[in-house]
Amino acid sequence: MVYAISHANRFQFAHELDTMFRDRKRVFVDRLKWDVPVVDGIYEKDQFDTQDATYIVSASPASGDHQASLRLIPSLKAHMLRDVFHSLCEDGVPVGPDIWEMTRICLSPSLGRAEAREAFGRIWLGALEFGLDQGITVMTGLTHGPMFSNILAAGIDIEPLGPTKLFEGLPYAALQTRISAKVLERDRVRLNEPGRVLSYHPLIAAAA
Amino acid sequence: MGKFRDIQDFVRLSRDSRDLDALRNLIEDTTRTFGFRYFLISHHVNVLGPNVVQLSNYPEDWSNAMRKKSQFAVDPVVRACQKTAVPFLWSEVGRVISLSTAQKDILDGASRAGIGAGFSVPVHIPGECTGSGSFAVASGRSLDEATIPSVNYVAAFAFEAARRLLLRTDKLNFDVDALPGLTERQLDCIVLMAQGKSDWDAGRILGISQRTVQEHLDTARRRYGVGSRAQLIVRALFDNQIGFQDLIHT
Repeated sequence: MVYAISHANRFQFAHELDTMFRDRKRVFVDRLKWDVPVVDGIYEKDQFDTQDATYIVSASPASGDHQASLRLIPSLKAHMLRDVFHSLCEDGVPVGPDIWEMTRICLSPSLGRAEAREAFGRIWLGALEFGLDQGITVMTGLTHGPMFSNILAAGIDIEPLGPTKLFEGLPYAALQTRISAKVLERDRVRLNEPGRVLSYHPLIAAAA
Repeated sequence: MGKFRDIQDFVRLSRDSRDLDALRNLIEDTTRTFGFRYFLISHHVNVLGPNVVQLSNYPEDWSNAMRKKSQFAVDPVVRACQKTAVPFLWSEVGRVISLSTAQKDILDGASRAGIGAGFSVPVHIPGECTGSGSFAVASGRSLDEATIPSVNYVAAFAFEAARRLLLRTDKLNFDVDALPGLTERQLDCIVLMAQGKSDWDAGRILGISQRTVQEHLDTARRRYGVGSRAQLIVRALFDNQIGFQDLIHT
């Protein structure tokens, strides 16, 4: 199940969000050693996890446990590219009502590699569906240079927004990807997912 | 001198390359704009076949000499790419790996063959052997380091364009789906074992019991269908499920 979780419907997804922020701490702090804030010792949450953020979350249908997620923020609100990494954009940070930023792509460490790849495919499709629902045409983001090849190998057509810059010894890159019904169509075929994956409400299993 | 706009054009054009020759010409044109004479975009394997990414305009004599002597395995650039994920200047490769005499000879030989100062960008894709993109100026010319933050993109995008062309013709011999699915926990156990830790030590580090570590490693061996723990390490390394940097930077 893939959900779009925002400030408005967050109470219906307390468990999904709780396990997402825990996994983000396990991945970004424990494993990747990012210097990012930790809340209560177990959650990774930063200054951009506000009521403006929408999370695309894949959760286990049985337990509701987080499997994969990403964070979307409208570019007209405070977001990482504009507020922290603007120097990565050669021609200024892309900003507009149809431009949103995608960050904090997180795959649960408890998934095997094949499961993780499938879960990533689901949240990617979920993000495309959410984007088309909201009239988004461009998703921006940033990455370590070394992750670039992984994103490309995942089949996502990215465009760099400026030369890489070193932050704490690692080359960072700002990038964007254009989304459209055509991209969604293509990626549904590529990921072997015929129909819509995204929902805004918890799905209640029909009684047998 | 090239501008970032040239890189953005390269990104767009490389995606639409019809074949490997067109891509090769495109890489050559773009990198020359930035003052580079030579490039090599490749997977790191010793067998040069049509089944891996391999695009280059290195001097023929030099490529043949490297191949004949089977020096690929000791190539300092290849070794360094397996140890780092960050682009590096060849003049600073000694910071990434300690250079043997044979490796110093390779660097000197490249220079005599006309390949001057250069830098390399490691390309690590899960499920595939390591690769890289390298760019060099002609011998005697100086390398403008200010071009690196732009030119390093050519490695990733050229590599991906080549992969897509090969995948389209079923020539790329990596099948990620055929990879045994290992959990992060199992990979943690393999890395600690490969670092020489006992099951007991690994258990202490991971906060699980010695018995559980043993079970993780047994399951991983079964998934790979290998009998020994040494084979398990080799297979996990070859498939890029774990990296040399996991084992060496402890």
